[in-house]
Amino acid sequence: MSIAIKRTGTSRFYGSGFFVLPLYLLLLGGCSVMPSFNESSKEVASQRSETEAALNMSSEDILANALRETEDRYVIAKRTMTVEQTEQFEKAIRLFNGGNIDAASETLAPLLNGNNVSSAVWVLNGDIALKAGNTKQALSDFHHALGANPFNYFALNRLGMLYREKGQFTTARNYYQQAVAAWPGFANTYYNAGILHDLYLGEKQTALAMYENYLVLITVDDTAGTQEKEIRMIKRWIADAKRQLATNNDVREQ
Amino acid sequence: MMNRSRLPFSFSGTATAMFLCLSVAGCSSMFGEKVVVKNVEPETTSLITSLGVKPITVEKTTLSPGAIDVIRDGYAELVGQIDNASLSRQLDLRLADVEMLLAEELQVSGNGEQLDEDSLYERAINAYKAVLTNYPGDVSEAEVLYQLSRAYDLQGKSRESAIILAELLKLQPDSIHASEAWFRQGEAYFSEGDYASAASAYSKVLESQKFDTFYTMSAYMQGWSFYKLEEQEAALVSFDAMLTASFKHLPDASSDFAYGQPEVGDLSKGQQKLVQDSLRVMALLFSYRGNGEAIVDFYHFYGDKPHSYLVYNELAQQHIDNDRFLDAAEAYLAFASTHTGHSEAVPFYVKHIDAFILGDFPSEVMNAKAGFVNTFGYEKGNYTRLSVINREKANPYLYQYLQELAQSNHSFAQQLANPEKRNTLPDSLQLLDDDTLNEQASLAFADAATYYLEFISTFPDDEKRPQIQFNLAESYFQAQQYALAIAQYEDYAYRYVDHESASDGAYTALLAYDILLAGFGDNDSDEALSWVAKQRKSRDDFVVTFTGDPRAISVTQTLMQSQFDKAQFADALFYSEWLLSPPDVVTQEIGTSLRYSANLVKAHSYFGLEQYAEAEQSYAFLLQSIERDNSDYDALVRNYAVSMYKQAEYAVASNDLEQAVGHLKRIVDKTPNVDVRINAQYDAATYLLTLSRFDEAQRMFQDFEARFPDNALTSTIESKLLYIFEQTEQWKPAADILYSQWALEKDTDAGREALLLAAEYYDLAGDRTLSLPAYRTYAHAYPEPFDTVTEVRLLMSEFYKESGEGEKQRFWLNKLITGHDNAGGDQTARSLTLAAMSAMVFANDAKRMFAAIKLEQPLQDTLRKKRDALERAVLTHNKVLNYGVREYVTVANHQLGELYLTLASDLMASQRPTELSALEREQYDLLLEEQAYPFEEEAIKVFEANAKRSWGGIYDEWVRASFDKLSFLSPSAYRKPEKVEALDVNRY
Repeated sequence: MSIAIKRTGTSRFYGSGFFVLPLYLLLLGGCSVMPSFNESSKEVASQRSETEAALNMSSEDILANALRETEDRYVIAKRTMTVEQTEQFEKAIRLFNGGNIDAASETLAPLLNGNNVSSAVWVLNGDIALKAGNTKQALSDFHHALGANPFNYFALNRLGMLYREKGQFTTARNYYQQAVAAWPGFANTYYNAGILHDLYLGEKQTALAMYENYLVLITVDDTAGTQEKEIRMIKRWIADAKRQLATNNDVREQ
Repeated sequence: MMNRSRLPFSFSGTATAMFLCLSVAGCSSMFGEKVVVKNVEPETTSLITSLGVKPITVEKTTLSPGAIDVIRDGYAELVGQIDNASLSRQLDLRLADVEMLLAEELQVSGNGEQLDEDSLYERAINAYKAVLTNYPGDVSEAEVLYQLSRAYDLQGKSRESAIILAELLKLQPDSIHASEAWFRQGEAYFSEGDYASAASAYSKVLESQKFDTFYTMSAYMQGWSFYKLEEQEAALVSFDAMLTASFKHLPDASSDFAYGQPEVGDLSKGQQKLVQDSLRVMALLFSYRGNGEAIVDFYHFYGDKPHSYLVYNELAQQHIDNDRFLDAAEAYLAFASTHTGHSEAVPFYVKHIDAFILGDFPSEVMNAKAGFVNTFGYEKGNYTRLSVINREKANPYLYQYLQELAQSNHSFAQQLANPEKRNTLPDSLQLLDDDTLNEQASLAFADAATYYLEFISTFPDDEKRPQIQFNLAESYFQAQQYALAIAQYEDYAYRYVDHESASDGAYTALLAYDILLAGFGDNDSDEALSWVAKQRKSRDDFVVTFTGDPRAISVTQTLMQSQFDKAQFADALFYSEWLLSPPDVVTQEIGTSLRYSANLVKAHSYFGLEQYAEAEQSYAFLLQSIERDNSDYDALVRNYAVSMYKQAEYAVASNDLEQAVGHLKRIVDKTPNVDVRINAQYDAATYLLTLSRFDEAQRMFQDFEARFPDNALTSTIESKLLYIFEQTEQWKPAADILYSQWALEKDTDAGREALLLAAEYYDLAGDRTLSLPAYRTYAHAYPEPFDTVTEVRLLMSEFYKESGEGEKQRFWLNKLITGHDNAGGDQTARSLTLAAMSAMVFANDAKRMFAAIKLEQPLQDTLRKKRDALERAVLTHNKVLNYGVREYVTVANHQLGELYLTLASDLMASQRPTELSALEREQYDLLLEEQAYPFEEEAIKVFEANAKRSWGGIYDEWVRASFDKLSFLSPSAYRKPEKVEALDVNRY
């Protein structure tokens, strides 16, 4: 099932499943191409709006649901750990999150042996390296994570950030795109991708879209416990992006 | 009944005279006993008997005379009683025959004495006459006439008998008794002296061509008849016909001439006498007509006969009997020379020679023997066409004569050729001049050679052949036929190597080659070259075959020298080594001088063969064996050196430079004073250079320079030393070389480059006092090429930067800026970067000056200064930004932002006037804030401009720094850190 949503202001195709993903990838990749409706899309959107009205749901809710309901490839491709491994891994997570980095590393170490290491294990190991300031090791671990599961958007998101820091913006953008493709419902990817396009690539239109998707996802995500402050910040960014776009349009018109 | 066969009657009466005891020369014997030639008269007694004419064999009725009487009487009585004419004729005829028979019986038995001898056949004669009378024209008339003629003849009445025969021939010319009748006619005429009629009558017999007894006799008698008539030609024809008829019936006789050999001894004795008589007369006649040649002419005209040789022989024998040896020789030769294939040809020729011997004509003997060789010899004569038998006959004589002739000619030739022996020559020859005698000698030698050659051809396997062949070669040699002499000497010497003269022959062949080749002079035709090659082979053969011969040494020496002269070094080497290691038997013969020559050739040959290692050894050995004052010494030393040098060349060709250096160093060590040493040292140094053995190369080059300052090669050493200095990082001497090169050619590119490199090397040597002036000179003297001088200007600035001479550094940085700005089309990316870099220095200077100014009271003054400084700083930074070099753009850009930000912050932090009240102070701060705010805004703009460079992929430390500044100055827009969610036990 695919859904087309018409929103005021900047409008996008969003959705879930097979149809939505390619469109979204196009959105991320085509930096110089301004996304726009076409006639057939408008018709479909019109039909859908009737359904929306019937359901009395906001378009943001519908979009967010669509993104979230999209197939999570990472989960599907996940390797199964034994109970003991799971327990040990979760112990390491708790130790890491508790700031006990060394203990976390020691706990995690046994899980890194063998050929069937879980992707998540690598991600945690990379986080431990990052924490220790060892960016090179972290990059290696995140790449190992992708080797175990190419749809690990945790790893992809981290790689996007690290390559942005290195100034390799195109590479960073590629990882963000892969992360979105792995699961469009992962909000942080839009956040980071928006910053990349906004500040470092100067692609304000894409940045705007990213920020908006992020906003939609964090807004509807009750479990995330999102701060209102952050929502306001994102909204400011969206407004700033729109202003810059308008300024640029004015400049171009002049 | 009585057998009435006819009996030929024996001759009596006028039969021609016949010689007895005719000499018969033994053909196979040389000279038999002398036989006396009788007078020329025909045989006269019992010719028929002597001829051995056999009577027709008749079985006689054995009746006693008494019985015959009774028969006769019975017939006589019966004749009177019978009246029958036919029967009466038969009885009369039978009665006549019985009378004839009775008379013959009586004559044979001797009982006829009781009768008168003259009337013994009277009764028979009468009886036959009565028959003729009583029965004229009877069929038996011819027979009766024959019997009557016979009866007359037996009665001794030849004349009457002839008349009756004439009647018979008239009555019946073709009677079976015609031949006899004509013969008897001839006999009758001959006895009467009517030789012409006799010859005519004999002709009638001969016309019959019956070759019976009467034919033979008629021919014989006709011969005599013509002889009497002095018709010699006709007589010879008749006698020859007689001989033909006589041998006609021999078993092997043939009517055709086929070199059959009729022998007189094969005939009956009677025939022998007449044949010998005929031969005697024929020989006599031919002696009148020109001797042997007459016989040749005769038989040429009438056709040769098997018995012809008998005629020649008879004639020759008669001459010998009469001591006419020359004529005898001529007769024999006439036959032998015209019948060379005849079985008697060889014996006749030998008799021809023997005749001269008998007559004591020695000169003729030798000529005759030469003639024999020319006739029957293998090469000269028809030996090969002779029958086996005739060859066997000729062989012993050829064997003897060839040796005699060859030796005779050889001996004579030696006499002619040798002035010391010429006094033994005949007086006539001694009168001749030397040239003529020498010419004659050559001819004689040539003649001798032909006989030697003939001997070898005829008796190739004879035990004397080696000596003969040697003699042959000698003859050719002395006849100055050197090519032939060589062939025979060599064939002899190497075919019969054990023969006593073999080595002499082989050696003389070598001498012959020398003479022969001398004749060619400087001619290098194919023929001459061919002889040279043969001579060389012959020498080889001599040395190999007659190794122990003392002359082998000289031959080998000659070979060695000649081959060396012809650059045949391999051969020359072979011979030199032979001489240096000769067979034991001749070792003592080789003296020091020859040994030295051999060593010399050996060394030179190795050199010529490009076997330089061996040549080197050989030369070294030679040099040890001679004193320095030896005339060869210097040349040998030089070859010694060149041998080593060539080895080096080969090593170089094989890319073995290590070995090449070894050879060349040896030259320097062992032959230091030879010109080759110069090149050797130079090359060695060069190869050492290639081998990166720089220390050794440097030493050798510098030694070379010192030793040979004027050598052309010395001028090239500087560049090689430069290379060595460069490779060994001896920068100072390298720079000195380059600097001196520049000094010599300042106006050339080479000079310019040398200066630049010199400066660099001085720098590398750590000698700033030299490198800096060099660079400076370059930077001032050579503004072109632009890119080079740009680098030099940079170096100059770097020098001063290091030395802390900032002003001088900036002088050259300014040069970089102005140089680039004014370069026009010569501008390069490098000059642009350096200009930007230089501008950055000035920007930093301006920045520092700007930062150094404190905003103090009175603020108006210091602020003005600060603003001025800011303007300069902005200008200088903009200068950098205008170059657009990324490396300096971001830093300049960022620093520009900082300039504005600094001014803003400096304004805010500036010294406040002390006398202000609180309100005034607040107003003052607001005023400052208003003053500062535009600069902060400007700073943000500038930082943003720098940050936006990331949009184009530029994200260096200065862009990052600008982002950092912006995150503080404009946090809502730029403080945006990424979010990385921590893993959670509930979600990972």
